[in-house]
Amino acid sequence: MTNVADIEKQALREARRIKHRSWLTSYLMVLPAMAFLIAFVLYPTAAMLIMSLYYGNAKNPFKSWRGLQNYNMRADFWVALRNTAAYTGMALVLVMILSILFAQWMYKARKLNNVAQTLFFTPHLVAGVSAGFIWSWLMSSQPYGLFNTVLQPIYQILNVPSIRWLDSSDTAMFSIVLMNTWKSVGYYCLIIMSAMKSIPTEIYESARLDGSSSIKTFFKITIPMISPQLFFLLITITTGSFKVFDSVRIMTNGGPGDATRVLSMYIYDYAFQRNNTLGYACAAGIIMMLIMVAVTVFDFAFVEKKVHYQ
Amino acid sequence: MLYRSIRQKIQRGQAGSVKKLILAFAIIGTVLFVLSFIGWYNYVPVKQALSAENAEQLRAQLFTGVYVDRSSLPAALAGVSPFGFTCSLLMRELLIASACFFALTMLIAVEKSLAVKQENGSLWETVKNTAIEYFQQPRWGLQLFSDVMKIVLMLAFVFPFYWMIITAFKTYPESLNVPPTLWPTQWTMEGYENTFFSGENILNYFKNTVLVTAAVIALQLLIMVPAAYAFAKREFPLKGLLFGIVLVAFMIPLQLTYIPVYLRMQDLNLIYTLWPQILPLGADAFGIFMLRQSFKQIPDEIIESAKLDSAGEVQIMTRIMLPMCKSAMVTIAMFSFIGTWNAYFWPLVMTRSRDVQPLTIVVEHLRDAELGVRWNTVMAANTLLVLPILLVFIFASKKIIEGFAYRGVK
Repeated sequence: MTNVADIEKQALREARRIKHRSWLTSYLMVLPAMAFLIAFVLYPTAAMLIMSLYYGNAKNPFKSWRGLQNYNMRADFWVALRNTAAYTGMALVLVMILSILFAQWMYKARKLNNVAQTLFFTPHLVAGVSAGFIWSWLMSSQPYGLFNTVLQPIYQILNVPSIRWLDSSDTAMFSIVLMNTWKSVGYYCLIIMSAMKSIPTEIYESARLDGSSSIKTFFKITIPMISPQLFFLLITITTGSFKVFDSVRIMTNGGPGDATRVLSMYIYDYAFQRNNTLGYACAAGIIMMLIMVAVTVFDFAFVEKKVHYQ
Repeated sequence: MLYRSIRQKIQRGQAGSVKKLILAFAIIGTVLFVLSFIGWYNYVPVKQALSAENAEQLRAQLFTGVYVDRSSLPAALAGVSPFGFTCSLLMRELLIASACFFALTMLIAVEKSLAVKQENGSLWETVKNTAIEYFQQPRWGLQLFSDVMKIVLMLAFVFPFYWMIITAFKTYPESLNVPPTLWPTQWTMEGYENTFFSGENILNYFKNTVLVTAAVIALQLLIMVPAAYAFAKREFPLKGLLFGIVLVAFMIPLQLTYIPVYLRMQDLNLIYTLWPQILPLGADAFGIFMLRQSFKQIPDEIIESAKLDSAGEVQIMTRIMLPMCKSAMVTIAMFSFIGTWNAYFWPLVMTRSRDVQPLTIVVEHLRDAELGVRWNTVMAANTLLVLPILLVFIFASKKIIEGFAYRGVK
């Protein structure tokens, strides 16, 4: 009967119409977010890629074609890269070790530990700018600098000249790392701590019954059990350190000399502060992104295999 | 009266409502404080003090409140002073009111903690029992050493904040004292005066920060919530690809995107407005990711049954999804509040005029403004920048810490 087929067809059409309308609603829901992401993240990345092939400035980014010549990096780029790597290395070691130690030290549920956790976390909420100001005041190498006043007796005993913190190219980078460790260790400690709390106590019990020492328990049980969080830390600290800008600009502004000129500062300088060097900045930015992606991919490919997921 | 009824409530064990009350009082106190500050600043003699001959004296009087002319209070209520200027003489009254609210809040907080203690015997008993327990531990010596170290470390972590606040109240010569003084020998508002009267219109910067932060939070929620919902609960073609875009965007740092965004904003003549600081932060890839995660946790059955009850899309969103994801949304809003309030890099590269710059940048101006760095002024401005964040943290520390811990786990 043609009638039944007709009705069937109509029902199908109706179902499809409803489906399409539902699709339309879905697209309407994701459209704004997609538009923003494309306009402010993807498009700029593509534009950077193209601009990195040109010679130009903020008024006219495409003055003349340079091809890949912008990627033939100048000496100060390598300085910036080395500084960034040094910063990242120091931050990784310091923050990782300290946050694990602090977490192990105070993960038990006690009132004192809760207070300590809150206080350690507080610096993380404060602007990098504010933290930079406070610490450059504390680290002032003038006689009124607080750190040097406190350390003065030690200097006298050891008979060494006082540390010049941010004013000496040997210690400036480490001083910034120190500040950022103070700022972020509470946050990373918090993550490790919540991982430690989720380790079943039975495991510790049986380790204790087997007569394993507390140091052995720490390395054989705690560390493997929190390895997913350690992995998260590794990636966050590395990518975060590669982007470091605020605290460096406030505390040293790249100085003394070029001792603390990091990659993002190099890009900032070359983008608008100088003439016709937009291409260099874009090329450096692209390289910076490639390094960050490479680090992340490398971590996922090699380190993640050793990570224990429950 | 108010106090007594609150006390009764605590004794009846309705601690939850008391907590809300404390929060409300704190918010009212803060709002009153800010209002009074603005009112005081707009008070015409304050502005005159900027250019007056005897500025030093005038400023000192302004800060003690002596200058306020009591006799013209009724006129001030109408908003017009006897001289025909619009002004806000209510500033002092408002300050007192907010101080009262703060005091009441503190009192209730103390009362509350005492009430909790009293459930397990008297205060002295509790202390005694805790001490006895402490020294009955197997290795209490080690524990004591560890705890003392912990307290020392805690103090060391908070010390920079203390140093900031204390420096702001020192005079300039004292701030350069050798050796530094741990407690100001002479308290002064000099640092705060300089932040307000150094030619930088600090309230304008403050306004910019507040506006940008509020706009970013609103825009982010408006844009990200529907997208996250669609990614979590709806099927449509190319969903995988579109979500891939989100993941890719998550990897790209701001240091990379700002140059083209700046050029575009320049082309659109927006660089002298607040928009470049707001729009590019509208969709945060990480936020979408996190919201999607929490939408996913809502069981499908709830949506199905709502559909059977012939609820529309909008109704499902507003009646079911949003209330169930309130906590995730608060967390997102909190992240963007902290992130935008503290933002330095983005405003630095996205602004060319001082009219649109936020508070983070004015601190830098203050440092660079004079020949030598006037640390007490810088620290005063810095305190103004840090204080709102610290206030929020004091009242919602548990919530904020939970949010950050959650971000690490996912």
